[in-house]
Formats: sequence, C-alpha cells, structure tokens
Amino acid sequence: MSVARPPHGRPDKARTGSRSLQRKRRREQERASRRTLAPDQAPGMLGFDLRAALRRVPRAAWICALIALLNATAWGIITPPFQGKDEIDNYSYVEYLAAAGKLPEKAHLSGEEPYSQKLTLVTQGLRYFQVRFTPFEHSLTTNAEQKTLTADVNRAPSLEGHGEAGRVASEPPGYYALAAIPYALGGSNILVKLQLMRLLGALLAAITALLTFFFLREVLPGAPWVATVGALCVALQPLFASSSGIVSPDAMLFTVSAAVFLCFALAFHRGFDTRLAIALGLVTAVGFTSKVNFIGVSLGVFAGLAVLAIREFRYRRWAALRSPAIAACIGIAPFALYLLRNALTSNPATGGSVQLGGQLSPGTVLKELSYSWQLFMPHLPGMTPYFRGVFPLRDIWFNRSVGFYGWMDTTFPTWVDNVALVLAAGVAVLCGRELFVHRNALRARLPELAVYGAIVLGVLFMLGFSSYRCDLIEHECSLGEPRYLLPLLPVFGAAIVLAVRGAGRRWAPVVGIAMVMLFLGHDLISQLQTIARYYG
Amino acid sequence: MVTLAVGVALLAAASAVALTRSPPRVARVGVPVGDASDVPLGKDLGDMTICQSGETLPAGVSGIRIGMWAFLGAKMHVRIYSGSRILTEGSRGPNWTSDSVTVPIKPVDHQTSGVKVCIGIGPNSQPLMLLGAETPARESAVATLGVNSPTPAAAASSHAQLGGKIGLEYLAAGRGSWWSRVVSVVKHMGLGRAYTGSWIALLVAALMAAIGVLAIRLTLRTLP
Repeated sequence: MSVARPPHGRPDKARTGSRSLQRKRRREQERASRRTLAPDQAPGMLGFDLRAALRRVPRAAWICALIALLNATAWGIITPPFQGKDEIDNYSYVEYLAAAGKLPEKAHLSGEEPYSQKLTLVTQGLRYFQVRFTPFEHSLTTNAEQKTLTADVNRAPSLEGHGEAGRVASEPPGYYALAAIPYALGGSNILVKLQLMRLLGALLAAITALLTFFFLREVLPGAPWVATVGALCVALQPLFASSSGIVSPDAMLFTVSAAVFLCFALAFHRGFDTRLAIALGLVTAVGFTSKVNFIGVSLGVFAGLAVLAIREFRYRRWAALRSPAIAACIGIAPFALYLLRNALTSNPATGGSVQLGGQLSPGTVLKELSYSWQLFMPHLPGMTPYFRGVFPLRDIWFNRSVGFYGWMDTTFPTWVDNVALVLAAGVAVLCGRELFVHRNALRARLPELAVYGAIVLGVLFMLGFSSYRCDLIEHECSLGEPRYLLPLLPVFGAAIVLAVRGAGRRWAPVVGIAMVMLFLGHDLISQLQTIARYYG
Repeated sequence: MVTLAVGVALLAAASAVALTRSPPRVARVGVPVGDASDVPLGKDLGDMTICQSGETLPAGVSGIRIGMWAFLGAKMHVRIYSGSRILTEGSRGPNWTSDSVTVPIKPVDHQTSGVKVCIGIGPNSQPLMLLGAETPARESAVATLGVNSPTPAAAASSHAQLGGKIGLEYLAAGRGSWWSRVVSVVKHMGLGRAYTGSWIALLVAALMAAIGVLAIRLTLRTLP
C-alpha cells in the first residue's frame, strides 16, 4: 500500500499551483489513498466506509431519489394541512411524545376527538372536519378565513396541555420519535411543524426510491437502464408520493420494506455474510418500530432467513446458521423489548400485533383465512361471502390504486379506472411474456423468488387479518386502502422492469419511455385532480 | 425520441382537455349534503331501497348527490318517478367512499316537481349510513331492507319510515371551465398555510416541471 505524501519544504507556486489548488490536490490524494485501503481498515462501523459507498451510487440513482423527493414534497404542499389519512392522529402522537415524553396509552376510535386544545383550535380554523371526507367541500377560499386561521395559529401556543394519539396510539414509536425532530424545529407554529414533518416523509420517499433502484439492479441485472426505468416509475407513482408527502409512519414502513428487499437480493446474489446479516437485522429492528403492519413483512423476513440457512447448510454446515441467527436476534430484539415493556407496565397500547395474535384462535382461523382470501380474490364455492357486490381485486385494490388521495375522498371517474385497467393488462401480458421466456432462469432462482413471495403473502395476510378484526369484530369497516400494499413497491418496480424487457430488444426502449411518460402523466393528472378537489 | 415526443404531446393535450371541462354546479338543493347539521337516519350492512317523495327535478341535471357515508361503497341505482312514469335513471359502481355519493343520471329537458326519487343500494355487506335532516313522519323517506330494486313498490313492501329526508342535491354542468378558474384556484392554493400567497401554486408548478425535466432527461440518457 502506498500513500503519496505532500512534498517537504516551501512549495514552488509555479510548479505546484496556488494554495487552494494544493489543498485540492491533497484532498484528492487522501481520497485516492482511502480508496486503496482495505475495507476492514477503512473508517466506520465494521469497515463500512459510508462516503465511499455514497460515491459509488450511480447518478441515475440519485436522480430517481431526487424525483421521489420533489414529488412527495409537491404532494405535501398540494394536500391541505391535516387532510392526509389519519394525519391529525399521527401529528397528535408526535405532539404527545414531545410534550409528555412518553408513549400514548389510550387508543381512541371514531367518535372521540382526543386532540389538544391548540390542535383543535387550528383544525377549526382550517375547517378540517367540514372538508374531511366531503369531496365537494373545498379548503379555505377567502381572506377572512385565512385571517381567522392566522389568529388561531398565533393563539394556539398559549394553550396548555396535549392531546392523545387517536386511533394510531397502538402504533410503535419509531417514526414518531424521528418526526419529533422536525416537530421541534418548527417552533411554536403548528402549520410550520406539520410542513417540516411532511418533508421528513419526502426524504424517506427519496431513500425508498434509492433502495428500489439498487434492488432492481441486483435482481434483474443485464440491462441496467431498464432498472432505472423501474425505479423512475416507482418515484413517479402518485399514491406512493401522496402517502409519503403527509405525516404518516407509512413513509418509514415503505423505506424499511425496500431495504429488506434489497438485503435479500444482496444475500442471494452476493452471499449472506456477517455485515449483511447485521444490516438486515438492523433494518428489521427499525421496521418493527415503524408501524404494526411491518409484522407482515417480518413474516417474509424470517421465512427468508430460514431459506438462506437451509441453502447454505449443505455447504457450510452449522457455520451457515451464524448469519441468519445474527439477523434474527438483532431483528426481533426491539419488538420483544417493546412487548415486554408493555406487559410490565400493563400498557394497553401493545400494538395491533398482540391483538392480531389474540384473534388467531383455532376457531376463527379458517374464517380469517377465508376473509383474507376474499379481500383480494373472488370467493370460492363453500366460502361465506364477505364482500357482496364488490370484486375487491378490481373495485378496491386496482381502482383505488389508480386514484385515492387526500382523506380517501379524491378519486377518478370510473372511465379513468377502465382505461387504466386496459393499460395494466398490457403491462401484465408483457410481464408474463418475459417470465415465460426466462422460465428456466426462474427455476434456478426459485428460493429467492419464494422469499419475495413470502414477504408479499405476509403483507397480504397481515392486511387480511387486521381487516377481519376491524370489519367483523369491531364492525367498523374493511381496510381497503391500497397504501397498505406500498411496502411491496420493489415488487411493483420489478414488474415494470419485466414488462419493459418483455417487449423484446427492439421495442423495449419504446415501452420504457412510454412507461415513464405514463407514470409522469398519471402523477400530473392526479395532482390536478387533487388541486381541483381542494381548491377548485 | 418519437415515443417521447408523442408522450409529451399526449400529456399536454390530456391536461389541456381536462382543463376545458367545467366542475359541476348545484342546480338545486333538496336537503343539504355534507352539511354540519347532517343527522344519521339509519345504518345498515345489507341491501336497501329508499324512496323520497316531494322532490323537484330541475332541467339539465346530470347527477344526484346523495347524503350517505360508506368506507367501502356499494352499487347504487337511482330512478326518478313522476307518478308511475320513470323520468330518468342512472347508476354507479361501488368505487366510492366518503359521506356523499354522486350518481350520474340522464338529463331531462324540463323541470318537474312532485317527483319521487328511489335509490336501490346493493348488493352490499359493508356498513353504510344514511345522512340527512329530520322531518315530520309524513314527509320522511321510506326504506325497505333486503331489496335493492329502486321502485316505489319495493320501497313500499314492509317499509320503515326513516325519520327524516335523506340529503339530496341536484348537479348540472358548471358554467366556467377550469381554465377560467385558474386565477381563483391559484389564490385558494395560497390559503390555509403557515406562509400564504400565490407563490405556493407557482412552487408546485416549478416542482412538477423539475420532476418532468429530470425524468425525461434521465430516460433519454439511460436508454441504449
């Protein structure tokens, strides 16, 4: 290893250039010397050089991340304050956490408004309850209303106390603890705080796009430009951007889910070493603190760890269990601690996880499986029909994926859904063609695909069981919101990549451009639709 | 390049056409919908037929907004009767959620008073709440559970008084296109925030323009 040293003695300006040039050269030399260092000698945790890693990120990945950031930021401005789904409850959770310094304890379902006086005052000024869930009711339209709002916002800090976290009180605190930073930076103005917290979501969206980019490059190598198209389509996806542009733990859930997919892609393609095991464990741990729904993803994570262990066991025997065991132990630790803490303090806010566990009794499990099946697929003979008159796959998941913004009250006319269905069918055909053509390669990658499939199934069953509880036990409603599927964004990106490749070598660039334009157009028209709904 | 040019042209054309449309206007309010004084008139999980008499159908109405809350909507079929004659009808799928649902109907060319509006809801298995205003029993709407045929006969069979009138608003095509409303939309976008002003709309436009330019440039650069 050789490290160039700066010359001794007084430098000759004519030969070496000005001082600033010398400094620049020295920095370049230092950078070059760092590049030659072995990974285990480089600074950072376990030899991981973050700056070197960031330098290796392709420009295209940064642009995809920037697009996701700008897109979610635009959605965060378009959506009026607190008009995102459950945004007021999420804000209230952070307010409680910041003011009380502890986790909220009481979950309030509909009918009760447990918010602080200051938040109630500002939401009145915003006409929040009149606008929410009422598609023809616009946001503020007169200067007089704005004047009232400004007075309310200025008066709010003088009011004492804090509210509770509404229906999200049972969520774990990871996202909310992170959101407490922009909350604190926002000073005393609730609307500034909210906007800064929304920017946190936009930042997480950028990281999600970045991770999706790498996942696509890893799982579908060969034509890197197609992976760029896939990541670009994810960054432009309006439902993803609108869900990330509000105060919601969903944004963090999307990010950790994308990281989970990337870790497994790396594990299957480059080997599951200790560093990757620690990374996957940490990602899983963070995932458990992000949102209860991560339990669905985690089912796939633990299935994946088992697959990796079995696969390696043939060659490395017991040593093969080391990395999966490390990942599993790190991953489950915070979740176990959280449950223990709640058990010791008799805290009812134990998360939907425990409620989910409680409802999985042998007597109801068949019913729940049947319900979960029907939440996505047509009901089969012998099943009790739970969704009469609705074909959930289309009426809930597809149509609402096309457009379902604001407080779930901004949608497209039916004809737009029909046009989108034709386009989606085209994408599905191209995707199917690519899978069929490369069926032999798929067979060789069956364990890896099984892990992705397990994550997908985990998310769907988690959704099904939660919806069963909400719909049939609490008699509230089924959880028919497509944002719950967004942890599967990397799979969505992979479907886009497969469709582009399925068009064949000649037509792939044309389909790639068409796909980007389609998502750009969808995003733009969705924003116009939302603007028309709130400000028309 | 050709695909890109076609894509950009289609996008610009679609946006321009969308802006030439006009938002619907309320031609007549039967009972206000989405009003703060809305009262729940009934909640049910199944099929239902509701008929409400004494309504006036204005000319040119292309949709009826009904006061009804659902998280996961149901199929809706509306028929409007003058005596036993069907004046107009329309239906919509279950893809709605909120505290109102708008059902498109065929416009009629003259106003008719004393009409009966019948609404068939279903098939349905999700919670659904009827919203409206309380009225004396003789004026209130009638509902029959378990059937979803929007006919007075269906509503009359084993019917129950709802205790009030269901929220109904009659919508017709608006008079000004979105183009003509751009200035007011820009102004409204600047309200309801910590920092106000028309620059908010310009900022959103700039962000979208930047996204478009970045996406197109990246696509062109990465293509083989």
